[in-house]
Amino acid sequence: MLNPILVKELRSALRGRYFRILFPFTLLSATVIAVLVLVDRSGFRSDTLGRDLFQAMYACLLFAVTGLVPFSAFLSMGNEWDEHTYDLLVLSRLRPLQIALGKLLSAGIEGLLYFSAFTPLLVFAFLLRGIDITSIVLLLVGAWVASASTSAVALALSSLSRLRIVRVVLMALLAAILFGANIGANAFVDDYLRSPSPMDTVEDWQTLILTLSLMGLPGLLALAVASSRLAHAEENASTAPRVLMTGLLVFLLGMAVWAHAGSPSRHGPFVMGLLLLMGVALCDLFFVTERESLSRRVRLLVPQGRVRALLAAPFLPGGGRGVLLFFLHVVLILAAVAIQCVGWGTGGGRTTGEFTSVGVFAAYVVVYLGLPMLVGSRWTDDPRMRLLLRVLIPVGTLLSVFVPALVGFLVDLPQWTRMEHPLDPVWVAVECGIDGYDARALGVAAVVVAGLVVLLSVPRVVRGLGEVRTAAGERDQRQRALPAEASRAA
Amino acid sequence: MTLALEIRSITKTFGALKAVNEVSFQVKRGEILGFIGPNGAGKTTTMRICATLEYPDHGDVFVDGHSVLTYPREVRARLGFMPDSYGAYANTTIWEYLDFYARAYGLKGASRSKRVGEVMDFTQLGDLQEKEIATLSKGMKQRLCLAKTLLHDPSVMILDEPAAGLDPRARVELRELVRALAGMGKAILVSSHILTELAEMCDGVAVIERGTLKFEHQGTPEDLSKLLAALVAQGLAPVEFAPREANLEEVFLSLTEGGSSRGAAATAGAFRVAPRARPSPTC
Repeated sequence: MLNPILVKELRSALRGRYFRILFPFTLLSATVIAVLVLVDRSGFRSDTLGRDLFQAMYACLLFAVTGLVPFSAFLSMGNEWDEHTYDLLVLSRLRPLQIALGKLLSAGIEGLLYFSAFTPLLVFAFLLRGIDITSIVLLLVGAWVASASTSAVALALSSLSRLRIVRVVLMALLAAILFGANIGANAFVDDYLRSPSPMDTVEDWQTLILTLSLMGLPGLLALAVASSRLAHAEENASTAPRVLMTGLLVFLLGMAVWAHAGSPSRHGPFVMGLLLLMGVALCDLFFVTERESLSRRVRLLVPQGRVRALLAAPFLPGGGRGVLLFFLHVVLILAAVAIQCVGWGTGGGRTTGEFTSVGVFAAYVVVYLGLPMLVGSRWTDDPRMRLLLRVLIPVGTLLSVFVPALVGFLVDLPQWTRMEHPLDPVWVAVECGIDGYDARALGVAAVVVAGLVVLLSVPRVVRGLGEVRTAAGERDQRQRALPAEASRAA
Repeated sequence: MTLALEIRSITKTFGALKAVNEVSFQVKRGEILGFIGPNGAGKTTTMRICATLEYPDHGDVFVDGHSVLTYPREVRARLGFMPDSYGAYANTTIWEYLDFYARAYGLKGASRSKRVGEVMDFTQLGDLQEKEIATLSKGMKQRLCLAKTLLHDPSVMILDEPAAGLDPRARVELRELVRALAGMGKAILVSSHILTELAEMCDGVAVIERGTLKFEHQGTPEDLSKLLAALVAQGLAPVEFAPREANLEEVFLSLTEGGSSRGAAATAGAFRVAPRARPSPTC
């Protein structure tokens, strides 16, 4: 059966002023731009006219599907809060994921309408020559994935708050993200069209899969965030994003190890390690700042059997269990980097320096996220404090990296001004491993502090596990009591 | 036989405020229970807990024997909730709105169309099915929301201030609809500030104040008034519980803060709600 939200959203989107005005306006603008490209041929060579026209039309299409469509998705989610329809939706049989997915599918179909409207212009560009069909297909697939991903991000952002004022800020943030994505995508397309890939080697396909994954995975994660935000506060809104995130991480690490085995690159594991550690820290920030205790509803649904419950513990809601999941994620990344650097070393030799660098960076990530939470975990029961922690930790991290550079400028420390100071994890990590062992003492200090943070976090993790163990025990007791109650009733 | 709605010692706290404190009562099939209390007494919170929109800190609510904590989805399938403040998608027609919710409740194909037609006929919206919701009057919107609440044929209905802001004719129509639903065997919990409205509709009343259930009575408000008078006469209830007249407003004032300081007319007046109460924002 069709997702009811999809039907409803399409009805109201196609009737809404937003679409009825912007759809023809975009098409008209694209047609005018096409005419301008064709008329003003002085700047173009005839053999690249098709390519240039395609590029111009593609930029218009990108603006529509990764700008207008995600905005429409953002507004549609916001309307549920503003028009007080959310409670009525929750009371129906629709699950939060269905609601989020329905809105995403509606955005996808809106995007497809733009694709179909742009098809004549793109076909015309192809007929003018200068661009091959493979490139067109690849770029259109890329635009579609980007549209879906940015729409999911828009839904996630809109679901973060019911307060209109906060959503205005989130809308500005979305605008900045979409603007950046559009600029980046157009630069990438320009670069790609100068030397299009023939897609005849395994490496080409590896690159394509990795690129599409990197574009699509944030969307998947955002969809999980949106659906978890739509769930009731007492419901388990945390397990799905935790499982999905861990799955994505394993998938990405697998892809990276596979790609590295096929064509090893010296700094590949280091770059991958750094990017994934930063991504993991940003996502896990939401888990480690969750309320510590399980809600009454979730307590009733903890897996039966203490062993099973403890195995599931990192994926259950709660800040302490979030810390455990964060440590597991860091260990997974380090293991994958170790496989790449030590197992299948590049150029025939082992690259332990790369691994050391990633290890030191991981220590910094543990410190930057774990240290504030040693104190902050006391206030996570208060939603306002949770929000504050989620803002302060990344802001504080950025300040600790950039403020020393400013201080260096003021007190004439040129090294600090060049971002070469002990609080900059990238510099310390590079100096510890890749560029020799000049900053070994700093690296050792970072690892020691990280070790201390881990040790001091242990009680919080143990409390989180203990609560799961108790809840599982209570559930076992209830299960055992059921037959006895039934027989007594009989 | 399982009770249609059973509230067992529920407590709900928001920060320092105890919105609901150890509240327990029951509603049987075919019964209309009026839920009375001044503003901020905890009526809406109790009703939202019953509807699974809030979860109790302690205690539990059972709908047809299903706990809101353990089986919220089963509860939602059996319960129809009409909130005091709700929205409708303005640029959709009545038929589209009901069709959407019928889909959301999992109704399919011909049975969906049939059910939408049935609830439109029941709420007398059949002739208006192509009308846009934005153009409907307040009374029509209330009927539309009731129609939406009935789509999945719930056995328990919770109506939070359904008559607020309605003109007398719309109120009478709504009252007749609610009575008809009770006649179908549905258990109905209905809150209202319009106490005369409840008196004409309910088979029993539950009075809540400051989160605590003051009184629960099975029977008409007149019965309750007589019972209270008898209890006072026998010395089994404080004298301030004696209502001066046999009507629900007097019973309400007797049982809430107004009763304990009846001499202070200002206090009592604070809880007296005229039949033509100011409308609250709905739909």
